[in-house]
Amino acid sequence: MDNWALIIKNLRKSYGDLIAVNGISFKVEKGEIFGLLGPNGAGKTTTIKSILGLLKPDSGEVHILGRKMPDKEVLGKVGYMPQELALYLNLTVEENLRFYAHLYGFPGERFEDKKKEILKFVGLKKFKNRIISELSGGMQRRVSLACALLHEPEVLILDEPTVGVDPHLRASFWKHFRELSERGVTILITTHYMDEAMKCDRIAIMSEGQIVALSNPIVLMEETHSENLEEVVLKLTISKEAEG
Amino acid sequence: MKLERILAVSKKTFWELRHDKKLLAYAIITPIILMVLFGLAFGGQVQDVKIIIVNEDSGHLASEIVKNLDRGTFTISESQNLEASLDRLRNGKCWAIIYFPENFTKNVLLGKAVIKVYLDRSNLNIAETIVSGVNGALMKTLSENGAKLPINVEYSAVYGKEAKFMDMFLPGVVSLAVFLISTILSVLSFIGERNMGTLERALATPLREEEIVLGYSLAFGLIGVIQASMMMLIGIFGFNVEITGSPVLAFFIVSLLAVVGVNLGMLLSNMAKSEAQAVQFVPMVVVPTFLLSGIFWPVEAIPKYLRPFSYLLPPTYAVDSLRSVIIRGWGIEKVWRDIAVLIGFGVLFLTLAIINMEKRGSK
Repeated sequence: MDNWALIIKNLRKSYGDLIAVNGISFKVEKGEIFGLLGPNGAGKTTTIKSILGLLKPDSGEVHILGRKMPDKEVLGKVGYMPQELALYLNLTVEENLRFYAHLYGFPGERFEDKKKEILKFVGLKKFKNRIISELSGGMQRRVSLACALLHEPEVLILDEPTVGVDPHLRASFWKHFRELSERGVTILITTHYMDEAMKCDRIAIMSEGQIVALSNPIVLMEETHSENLEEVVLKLTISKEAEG
Repeated sequence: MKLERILAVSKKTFWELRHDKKLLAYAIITPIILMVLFGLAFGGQVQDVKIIIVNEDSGHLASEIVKNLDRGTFTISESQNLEASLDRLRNGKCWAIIYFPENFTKNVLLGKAVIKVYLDRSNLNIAETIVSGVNGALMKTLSENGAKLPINVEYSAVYGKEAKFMDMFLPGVVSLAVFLISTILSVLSFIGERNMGTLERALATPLREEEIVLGYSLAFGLIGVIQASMMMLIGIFGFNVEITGSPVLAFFIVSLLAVVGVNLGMLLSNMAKSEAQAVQFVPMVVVPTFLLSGIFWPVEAIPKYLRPFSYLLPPTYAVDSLRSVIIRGWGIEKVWRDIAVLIGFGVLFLTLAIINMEKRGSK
């Protein structure tokens, strides 16, 4: 039990008639990078929001770092980057960071140090006094990631963090994710990029609210006799949106 | 619950206001404009009412009465021709004709004198001004001539001896502006947070629903105090309003009303399914507040069956207690009931907003 950062048991969530997540279970080990894959509408975001307690599941259980959710205290050890931008567009980069620092109960000096480090990492040092709405889409995504990393969380939950981010920065993001995981940070990440999925320790492929495969990406390729991961996903999943 | 997180939400609101000039202008300039406009439009008494005097009296009394008509209230022109004057009245060139028939002075001594006033009563305010103006001039003339009435009424004002219309008006305008602006501001900011996803993002941290609501309440309450101060200063220096009671108590009531407005705004935006729906709620608050909360006319002037609605509106209590403080000079020991009701509204809306938010999150 101590080795698991995340335990999800029989999680089920529906919106009226639509079953978004249909009784899924998985565990994420501490320090692991765990990828959640699947076509749009497969239930990835609903899963993530249910884990965080932003949505109330119909049934099932979620444990983060051994604490049963919903639990506000344990969220202090979790960093979250949502799919949508979710930044205060009228505030500067620095003010957005400062707001979250306050929410995580950060003393002043530690914030100043951490802020410098994080702004350097996301390459926004020069832009810290710029208003978010004046930044490019890619820069805004970087601020969003910075907000998730600021308080040195033990668990990182990232919903499509690299959308709209250029290849150089994507590479540096992943280098950083790997460094974090080596330091023991657990990362749950959703992505549509297969090269990113290949960098995960394990992936779960979701389709129509269920997990259809869960293993190491290489193992999955062998098991399904596929040339690459994209083929695995195409073989195993059904896209509701592609069907129309 | 942690104070640091509540304050973080409040501070963030002020940071946003600092960068968002449009919102800042809305929060700061709107109350000033409202105050000046309402003050100028309603503050003065009726002035420069055009009337025509047709005086056929050969004695002295009629011209004495005319002399005693207030020259500030009335713009007087004289005519010898009643028919021509009536035409002018019918064409809207004047508001009234005051006609003194032949032998008016003589008839006074016989006890059967008549002053005929032809009146355009299409505007009741003006009509009443004319009636009381003519009566006033008549009484003054009689007493100057040593005539005594058998009965006299003596009025002595317990409160508001020096009160001007604006003194009564200021509490209403301040309450209206502060309540509406704080409600609308909080509806707008909350919908903005919901649409941007920042509300949900913030809830994925240790921040609790009640901390968000309290943080907003605190920030907009402060903004309410700033708005109230500006409006009261304009009232005091621009329109000579005198605050008989404690200004601190007056500010307290206004900021309390602002907090009630913010909490109501948060409740409304939580109840709404969409932005459009939340915006539709706004007139549902504005119109009853405008009509029923005793801002422009007393609750006593509202039909009995509508009065219960007046007592469901928080501004009713703010206007009532604010007027008592400003004009009557009452202290907390006399207005505590109104204040208690306002606090009750604030707590009720706050609690409902939190419950609604938690329910929403758990959908």
